[in-house]
Amino acid sequence: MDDILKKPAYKISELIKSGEISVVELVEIQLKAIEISEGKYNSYITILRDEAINKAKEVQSMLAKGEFKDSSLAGIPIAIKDNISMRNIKTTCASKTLKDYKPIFNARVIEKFESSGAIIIGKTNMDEFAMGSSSKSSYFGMTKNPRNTDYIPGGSSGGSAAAVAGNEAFISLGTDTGGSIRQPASYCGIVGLKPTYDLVSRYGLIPFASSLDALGPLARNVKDCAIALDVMTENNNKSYGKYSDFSMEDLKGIKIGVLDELTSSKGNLNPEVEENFLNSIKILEEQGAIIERFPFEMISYMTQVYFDISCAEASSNMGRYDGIRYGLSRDIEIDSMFDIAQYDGFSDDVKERILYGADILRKENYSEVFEQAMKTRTLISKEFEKAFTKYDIILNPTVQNLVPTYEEIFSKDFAGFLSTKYTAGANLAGLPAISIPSGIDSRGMPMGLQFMGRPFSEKELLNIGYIYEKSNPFWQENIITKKRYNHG
Amino acid sequence: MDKKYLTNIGIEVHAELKTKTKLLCSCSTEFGANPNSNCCPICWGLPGATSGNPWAKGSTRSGLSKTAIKYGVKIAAGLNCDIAREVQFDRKNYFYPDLPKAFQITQFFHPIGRSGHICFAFNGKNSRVQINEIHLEEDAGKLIHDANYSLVDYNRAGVPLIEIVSEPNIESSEEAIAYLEAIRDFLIYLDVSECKMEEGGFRADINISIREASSDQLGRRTELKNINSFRSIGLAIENERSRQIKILESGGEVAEETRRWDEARQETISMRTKDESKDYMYLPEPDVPIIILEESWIEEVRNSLPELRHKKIQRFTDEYGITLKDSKALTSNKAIGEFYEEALIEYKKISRGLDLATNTNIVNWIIMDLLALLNEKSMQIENAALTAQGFSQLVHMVENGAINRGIGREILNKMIAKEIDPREYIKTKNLGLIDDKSLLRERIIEIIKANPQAVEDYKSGKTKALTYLMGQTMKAMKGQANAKLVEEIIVQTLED
Repeated sequence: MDDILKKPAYKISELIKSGEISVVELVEIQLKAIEISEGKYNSYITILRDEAINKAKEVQSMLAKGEFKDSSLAGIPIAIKDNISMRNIKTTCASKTLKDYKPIFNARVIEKFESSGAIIIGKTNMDEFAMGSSSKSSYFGMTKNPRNTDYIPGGSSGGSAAAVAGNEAFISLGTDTGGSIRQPASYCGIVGLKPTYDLVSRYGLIPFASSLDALGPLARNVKDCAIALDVMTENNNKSYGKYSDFSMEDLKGIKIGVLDELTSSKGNLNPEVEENFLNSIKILEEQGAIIERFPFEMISYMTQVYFDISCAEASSNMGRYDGIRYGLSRDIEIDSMFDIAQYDGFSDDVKERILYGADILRKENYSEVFEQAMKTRTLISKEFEKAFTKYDIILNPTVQNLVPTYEEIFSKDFAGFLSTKYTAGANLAGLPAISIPSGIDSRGMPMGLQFMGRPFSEKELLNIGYIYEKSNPFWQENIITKKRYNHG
Repeated sequence: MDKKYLTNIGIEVHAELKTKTKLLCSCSTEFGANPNSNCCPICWGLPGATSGNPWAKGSTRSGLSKTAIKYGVKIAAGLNCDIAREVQFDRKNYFYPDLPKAFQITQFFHPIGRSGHICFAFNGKNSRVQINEIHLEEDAGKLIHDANYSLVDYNRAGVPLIEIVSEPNIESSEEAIAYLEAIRDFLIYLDVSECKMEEGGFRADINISIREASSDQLGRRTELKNINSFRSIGLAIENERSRQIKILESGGEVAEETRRWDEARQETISMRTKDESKDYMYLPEPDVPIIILEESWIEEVRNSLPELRHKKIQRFTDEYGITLKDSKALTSNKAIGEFYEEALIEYKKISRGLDLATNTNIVNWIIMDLLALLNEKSMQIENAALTAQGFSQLVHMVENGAINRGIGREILNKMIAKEIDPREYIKTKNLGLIDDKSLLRERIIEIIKANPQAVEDYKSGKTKALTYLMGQTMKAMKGQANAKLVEEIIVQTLED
């Protein structure tokens, strides 16, 4: 019966509709599996046992009455990152300051998932307030990579990625500010999509950096991601039909650009990552794509600009935690209330970003640092725009390095920000990007390939990803194997 | 006034715009509701409650108020400002319990209007105050302090405000009050704000500095806040001016600080100077899209500006020859001024000419009768049933002697409440002035017979007796007799 949890959501949906499996049964099995594996992975902060069972019963009877005919997610257990508001459900952002916070309203995407009949099974772990790329800063402990629990799952959507990779949910919802969906998807060996900025409503997403944040789906295959995106963009004006209807059969005529600095000889890529990348390029060429290298002048500014803008916006977003209406507080004077909520309630990772962000917004620093970052951001966007007049897709390995172990990241010489260099561009320019599993390294750990497209090109992007997925022999439905590949 | 020192005053006005909903959500802006009842996650500043996704269809709770932007452009146009073609918002970050997001959404980098001016009459001359900039922003909540605790009401948080910042070229407390009245009149005339100071809908912060008459450089300024009436503003300015002069005379330096006006002690008191050089860490607001204004739309808004009060006053005195005092009274309310001009048009349709005397009568009818009657009923001309056409017909009838003025006023009273054709009314109620000579002569003969003493008095030269006989006649005729005729006939009869 455990095999059922490894199947794609779109296959389970058919089984549910045909009555071969009941929703309640499925949810019970899923909850049981979570019980067993949570000790190892710690993907979840809150497991919604009763709510999920009740919703399962409800959805089951509605299905019997003929409802949810058009929904591919009816009865499917999904997990939600804990920075996405759910009415009366603890939404903690993995922070001490919000550890007991229960919103009085639902995020827009939650309403859409609930209308689709999906079963929300729990709220997943993350880096506190989404600030980080390892999931180590969570107040609720670290999440482990289900492929090998010595390794980090990545972040900040580490819990969402681990839940899907560990078969603890079929689909999960994450958020991506500089790569926080795609990097953990790559590290955990699953698919993660960051849609175009504001394609999906941010109403209810507790923000990290408002001009960079995006909500997106994670799943074990591309089609499940596409189905999730259909639900998340329900009611959007779409003249082109569903994202999950794949009409392209090959990549003939698709032009793909690759940054010319992406080589290990320039020190920008781990050699194993490069080898895997070149292999992926060959696969795409076999499908008909034309792949070309091109220069990207602004690439060296990516991480600094991302850091400046995200920290500045975060410092402003984080001001509201005063303990008056919600959050950590005690019955004392107002000035001290801010101290409790923030000084006591935030981790060092959060405080560092707030301090840095506030500093660069100060009058004497504004024009030299923050304003320069904004201007550079515009130049970066323009350079992408120019690139997309020549290319349909920009391709790169999702992360330059191999997934690190927890031991490695806590060591002194770990350079934490390398991992946003090839993902942050999509956030700075508001572009859609998807990470798809591309292979396994010599330690047996996953690697990912990132496809980035023009604004609002998700339909094409997902279809291209789907074709790659089908043609890559390294991709498997179940990624939890201990098999190690020897690259020859 | 101390001739040795000149005063420089700059004023920042905050006025609540009379939109139905808040700047960034659809909560009501109505005053006086139960605390925290006109609120939603957005204006409470709950985590994640952003204003709105520009791409999502069917989101009802969110979005930027179009009316607020329209009002902002209207005000900018009326104040002769350069109007920004792109509406952009910014965040002003600081901590205070009445500020739910810990930042205010305002316009710092690109205010909606820059470099404008306003003209107004002051001390018999035309004064002109330069406007540095005007911008849109959201209001904060309200704090109510008790001995051991404070309460926060977020109803006001998110209400759209216009902030109007003048250059510091106001030179006296009298001019400051005249300026404030001019701004208030202007906003009310534009129908964009009710400017109710008592409801917190109109607030003014005063920046004041003094300098020696010989110096060109502005002195150090203090900011005066929390003053709740125009009169108190005048007092506060005078008080602060004296205080600053005293400091300079004793060789000291004025400290740049914020002071509040203490009504009880009638003096300005320094507020805590802890946050004096506050750095608000401004940054562009990422959650509100930039709105691009089309030229044609701006033109439309510009063309929809009503004639402003000071221009109307000028025009009334020039065109209609009425006094300045009367012009002010007629324009105190925009609708009344418009009613007056409509009445003139209607009057000219009935009568070929409109001489100055008649014009003056019409003015008096409005100021002394109509306004008084409306006031009694606590009504506005807009909700009265009275039309300009009916009004002018009524006035014409009095001018022509068809009815008495007293009767006219009674009918006017009725016409305010109900739609009445005055000519019909007079006919059916038989209120017309009686000028049937034979009927009058009959009555008068009766009255004369009944008052022999009066006749005696008249014959011995007491003119008061004539007035008495007229009065008796009018009483007998229920006030409907043509007074002139009555006088004529009495005199005639007595001579016989």
